[in-house]
Amino acid sequence: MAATTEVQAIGRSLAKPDAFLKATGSATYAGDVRLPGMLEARVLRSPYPHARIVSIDTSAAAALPGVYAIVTGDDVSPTRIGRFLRDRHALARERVLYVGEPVAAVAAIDEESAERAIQAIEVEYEELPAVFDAEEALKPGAPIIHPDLPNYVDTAKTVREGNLRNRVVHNVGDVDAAFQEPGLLIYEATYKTARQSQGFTEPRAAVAQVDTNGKVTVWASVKAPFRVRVSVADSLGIPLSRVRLISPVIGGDFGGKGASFIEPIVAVLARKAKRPVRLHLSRVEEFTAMTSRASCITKLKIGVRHDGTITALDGTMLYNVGGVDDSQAGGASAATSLIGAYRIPNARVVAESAYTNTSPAGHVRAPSGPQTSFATESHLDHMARMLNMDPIELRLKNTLSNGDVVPSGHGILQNSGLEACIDKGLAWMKREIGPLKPNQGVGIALALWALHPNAVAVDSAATVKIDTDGSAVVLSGIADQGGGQWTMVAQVASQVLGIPVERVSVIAADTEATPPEQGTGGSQTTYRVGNVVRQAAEDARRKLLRFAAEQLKADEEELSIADGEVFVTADPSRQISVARVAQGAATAAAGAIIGTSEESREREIRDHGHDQAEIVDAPSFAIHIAQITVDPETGMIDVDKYYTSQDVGKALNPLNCKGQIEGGVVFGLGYALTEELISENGTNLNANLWEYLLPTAPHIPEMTVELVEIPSTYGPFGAKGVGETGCVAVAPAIANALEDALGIRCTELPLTPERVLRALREKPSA
Amino acid sequence: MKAPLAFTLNGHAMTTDAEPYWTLQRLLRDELDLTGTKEGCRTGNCGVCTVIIDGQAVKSCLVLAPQVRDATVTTIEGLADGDELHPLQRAFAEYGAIQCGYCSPGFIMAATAFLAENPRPTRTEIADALEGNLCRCTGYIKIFEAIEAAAQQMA
Repeated sequence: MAATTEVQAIGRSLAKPDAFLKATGSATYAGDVRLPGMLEARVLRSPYPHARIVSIDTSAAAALPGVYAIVTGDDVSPTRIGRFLRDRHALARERVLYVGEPVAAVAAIDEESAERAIQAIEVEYEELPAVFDAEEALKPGAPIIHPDLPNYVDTAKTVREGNLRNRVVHNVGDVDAAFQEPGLLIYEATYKTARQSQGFTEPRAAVAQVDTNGKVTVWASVKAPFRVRVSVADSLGIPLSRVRLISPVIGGDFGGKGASFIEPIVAVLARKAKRPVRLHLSRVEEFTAMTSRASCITKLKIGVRHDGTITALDGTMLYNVGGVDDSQAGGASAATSLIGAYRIPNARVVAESAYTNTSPAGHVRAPSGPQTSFATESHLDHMARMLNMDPIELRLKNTLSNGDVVPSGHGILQNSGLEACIDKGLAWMKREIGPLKPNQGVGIALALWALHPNAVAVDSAATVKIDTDGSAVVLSGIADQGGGQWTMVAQVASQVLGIPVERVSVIAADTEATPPEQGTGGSQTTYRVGNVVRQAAEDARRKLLRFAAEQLKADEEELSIADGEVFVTADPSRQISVARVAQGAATAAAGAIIGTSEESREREIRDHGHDQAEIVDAPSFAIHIAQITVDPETGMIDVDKYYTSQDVGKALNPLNCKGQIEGGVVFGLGYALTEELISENGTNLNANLWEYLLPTAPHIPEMTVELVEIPSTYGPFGAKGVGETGCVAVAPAIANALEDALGIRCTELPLTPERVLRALREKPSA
Repeated sequence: MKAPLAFTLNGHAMTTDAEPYWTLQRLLRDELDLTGTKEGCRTGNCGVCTVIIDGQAVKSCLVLAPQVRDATVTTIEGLADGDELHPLQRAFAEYGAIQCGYCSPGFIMAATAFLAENPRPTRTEIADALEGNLCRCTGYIKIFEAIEAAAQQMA
């Protein structure tokens, strides 16, 4: 660990340097890239949920003025692409599997010409039987969506047969025997959750350019440029090194922009048109053809002793992953998150995901988290009422503690902040929740996320250059989708180097200019990338001090750096600026001061990588508390007050941490109350922003966010992941408040007025 | 058929040619390369394309370019006073109201027009005034705080 310097970059609520660019409209997003001669692209999409493509006639379209290129499935390589499982082509070949699947694309002089050409393409389809419901899809005789599924390439071992995308079985203890215990309170219920769109404000955009040597450059709104590069290269049938992918400023991600759908299409168009091509998706395309959080049906049975000890859990989950699946292991790998933050000796979870002829599923902030949390946290709350027990007390009797093996089996829990979160939450309730009025209720839920920081063996590296004016440049492959990743990178480097953060710039997310990087996501960026940036900065610092020691005629160990000056700690009058040291190095044999992460990373992983793999070093826990008022006449839920405290390990930037959590809570409020992508026969009906209801400013409750800081052992400065946890347990907190208010238990999301009224009508009279 | 169009844009008199079917958003972004005005839905629901026309906050995807003939249009690029950021721009950056930033130009333009009408708003008034602007990142709270801070500074 670097010596602490007087420059306090870490722990400061520093405004993000890029925020000033964004506030003035000068930040460049992918759709803002302008190249000479750039054409506009449009995509022709399938109107059918399942059909065979009999023929495509592009001759009339090609004859229209201003049309430069038309591409179909014949123009892309037969190699399938996909973020995890390779189950699709950038443009459909032979069959279409969902409404909105891309069939052809046009590049033309302007969008009107491209649109006219799209309409002039004649496609003959032969409709095939389709299936939309996940349970139906798994029945014998259902139309098979991917006949060659067992032969597809996946990044993990998954069980694939028929329309089954994956099945994961988790089984510990003896569940059947445990449920036989006399006197055990057993409760069973089924929970249904809706599809949720990522809802980012920037629709996907990409610009591609192919030079005369065949080198392809793509600027795209993607958060994992190194991964998306693979899809582009494979679709074009060219080596990886012939594709350069650059992620400029990204207008929100929430899981969706790790997927590659449009980038191969613009690249293949640009190659054919011999001109740069831009594609900016419409909002209708986003809602129709892009990914959403898979809907899920969860059947849950839990057994609790009358003293509140949970002894057994039996659950099944079925995800509907649509016609192609962009989620890791079909989402089913998250089976164990149904067990939540609890120590349950006998637990069995069978999680399955099924293909259907609906729009694709993919990652949405905390994949699988909100679905499982809604079921488990609703269930336990209801059981506490059945037991006449305080819902917090029931949870506290069963929550995981340091030293427990976590339900996923990933390792032994350490550095848990759960109790601290609960304590703060209870204190807030005591202060802020007064006597409730009629139709008011209070609900709580616990959240955990990012139990497995995946910190050890994943692509990540950084380089730090010290410039001759005393500034530093960090090269990192990480994209910033709005979460402040680039600010975090600058703060970590500044802290280690003793160079003011204003003098640290970040070059990022360019597959040729920056070191390889898995990509933003999983609430792992600060933990993993923060560490490699620290390691590279420490390397640069060592080199800097070696040169400075010669100049100052002192030992390296005697030196400190603060505010861009290197000085003898015991005698600060003996000093030399970082700029002078860098200038000296530039003309010395070494040439320049450049630090890299590789040596330190290797050493640290050798020293404690084994430990890191065996423990859960950076668990992210939170408590959520909602006070709501329900109108029993209309079924409308108003959230009056919302509280959450979340353990962030060490808040590298408290302002940004709170921003992530507040945004996460409101994301969760949308999931709880209004957001539902509705489809009929495979067509998404509310594929627009006036019927798909995102939370808006007037509906934001009074909110209190408190940060808990129980440091991780190996994260940078003790940091843990932050970004996803905030949205995980919002829906159950609201549903629990609803039961508290009106005595009704709603088990289907979102909690719309219709569902609340139905539950009221069906409520057994007391 | 393109027709000449004269209006004032960010303080400068401007004459350009515009198709009658172009939206103001299209004219600004694709013809004049003022890409600070964003594109999010083209249906007037997200607010990322908000600009100010003759003092009113307007979604530029819902206005045809010829409708701004002789009008005064201000976009996010024209809000700062030289090198001096508008108080709302500074407050948005400093109060954490900007995450991905895609909605920020629209919010800042909408808030500018709103504060001109109501310089000392309550939080409820701010929230109601911004119902037409979507933000998916921040949960709106830091946006409210930034507008309150800017309003205080501008008072």
